[in-house]
Amino acid sequence: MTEAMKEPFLQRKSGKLTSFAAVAAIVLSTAGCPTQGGVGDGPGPGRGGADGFGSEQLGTESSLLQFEEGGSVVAGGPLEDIPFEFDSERMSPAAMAAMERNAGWFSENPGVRVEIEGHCDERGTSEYNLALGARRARVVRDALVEYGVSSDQLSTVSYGEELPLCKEPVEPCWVRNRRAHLVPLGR
Amino acid sequence: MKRILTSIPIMAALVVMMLPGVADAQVRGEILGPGATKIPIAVPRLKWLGGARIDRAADVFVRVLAADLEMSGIFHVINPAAYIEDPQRSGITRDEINFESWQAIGALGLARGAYQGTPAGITIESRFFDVADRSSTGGSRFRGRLDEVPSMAHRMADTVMEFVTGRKGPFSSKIAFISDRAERFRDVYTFGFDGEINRITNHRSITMAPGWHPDGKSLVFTSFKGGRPGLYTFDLRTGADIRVATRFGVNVGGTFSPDGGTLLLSREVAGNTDVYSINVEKQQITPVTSHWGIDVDPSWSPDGRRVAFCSSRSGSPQIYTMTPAGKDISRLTFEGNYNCSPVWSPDGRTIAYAGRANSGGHQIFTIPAAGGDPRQLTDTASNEDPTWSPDSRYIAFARRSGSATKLFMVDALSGRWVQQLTHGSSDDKAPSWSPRHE
Repeated sequence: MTEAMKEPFLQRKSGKLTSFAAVAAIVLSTAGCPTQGGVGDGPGPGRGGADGFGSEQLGTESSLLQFEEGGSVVAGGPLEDIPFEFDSERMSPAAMAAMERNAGWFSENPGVRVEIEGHCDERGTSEYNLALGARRARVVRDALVEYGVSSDQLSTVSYGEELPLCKEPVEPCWVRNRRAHLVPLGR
Repeated sequence: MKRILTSIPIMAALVVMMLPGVADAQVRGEILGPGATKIPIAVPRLKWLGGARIDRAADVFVRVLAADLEMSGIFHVINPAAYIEDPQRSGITRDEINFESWQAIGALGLARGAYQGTPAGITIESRFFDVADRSSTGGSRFRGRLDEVPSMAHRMADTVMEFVTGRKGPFSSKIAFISDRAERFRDVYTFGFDGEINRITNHRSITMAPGWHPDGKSLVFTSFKGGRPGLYTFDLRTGADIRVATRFGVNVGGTFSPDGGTLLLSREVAGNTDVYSINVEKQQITPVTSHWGIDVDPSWSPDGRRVAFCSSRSGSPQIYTMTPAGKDISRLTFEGNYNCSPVWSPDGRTIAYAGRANSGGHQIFTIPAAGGDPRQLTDTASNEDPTWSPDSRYIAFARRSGSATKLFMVDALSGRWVQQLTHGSSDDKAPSWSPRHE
């Protein structure tokens, strides 16, 4: 069978305004997830200020842009990275905890578009890791939607093993690289 | 001393290695294949026969030819300081060569040649001689520009390997790969066996997974240029660098069928990645696999009738084969919990892949395409991205050792003959060996 044309994924920085707001907070509270105190446990404020949207936490760059413009890729930002185990897209207790710490940010920043990047450690083949990163991004997206974040607000991309935070071939470095990185793009 | 083609056991072993289904072929190949018993040969300077005297260009031919033959693991090139015969004073034909002088230094083979400077460049004639038998096994005449001298030498090296083993060598082919050697961006490059490295793309982003069109004149690769991974082709003749299959969403890692008419690739839809097939002429995309597991890394059998791929459908990545339409799926690997990036050998018999070894690192393995026991070829550092030489004799791969990843090659039978191809501090990976350049 032959498939028809498919719409491309969301374009980066499309500039379109989206307005899906309150749902997040409502569903977050009904789901029993902590909506406060979360951000404080995460990394500090974003590198921010790059664009004119609302809060200074917005306007962070994708890992790819960081690489293309400056060479090095950073973790965290306004939203905490979600960790994963080797060759797995399962949401571990550590991943769930990081998700919950991020939940507060979503309720405080309604309607902000967020891109979810899936990353892997260097082991395994590039193509497989690209596919694995896509699954990680999708799992995080689905979890956020379950939390009540509108799916229209979320986009996913996989960078596989291509944009590591560190390059030492040791487990502590691999742990850092196996992550979903969440990038607020603006409203 | 006896004839080169019958005198030493390596010849018998090499012939056995080429026969399918010979039970002890691999064992004998392991003992006597590339890197074990090497045939001593001499590769003296070319004799100048007239025209412009351009010894430097002629020496490039000799140097590249000798380096190729040494790299083959089948020959040992005797140090030129030991050569007795003066190449400029003696002739280059059977009757003019002083075979005793070559026998005296232990040479079983002799690559002897001459050149003439021409207005357009150079003409080189080169023959390979069996020293003991005092006969020529054949030769070639090359005519071209001075910058074509290295490729003349590669062709001669491939021919010498054919004279001696019955199978042409791989040295006139090239290897496409990904490197961050210029600035920090990851672009597509090509490697030639004379050490020449050419930059192909300039995407100022990340490129991945280069592969060759079967005609050897264009490459397909994946690039993140513009933010999302997409498939591109690069025409090596015109320099045209174009995005293809833009209508089909996120697709990566294209690989052309042997007839060039079909492109298999991995495509992600809603988080799940499957193998898809694009009809190049009709620009139609068709799903090949459809499974909740990850299906990636398709690799065609040389007859185009089967496709090897990597799938996590069993719970861990393993190698499978199927028809190009996704039927008759059969699992090939059962040992280990991470086997991926299968590549089908050009002779159709063997599939190489990268697997996680007991030691923890990834290593290069081979397994009979029809099924059987895997064989681990590498055991040092971490090795991924295998690709076959066009003669199915070697496998190139990316070795991560310390802080850098470099390209290496290993003989496909024993794993004992390991040669480093690229050098320096950059990361070089994802090698893809070209078809033979005729």
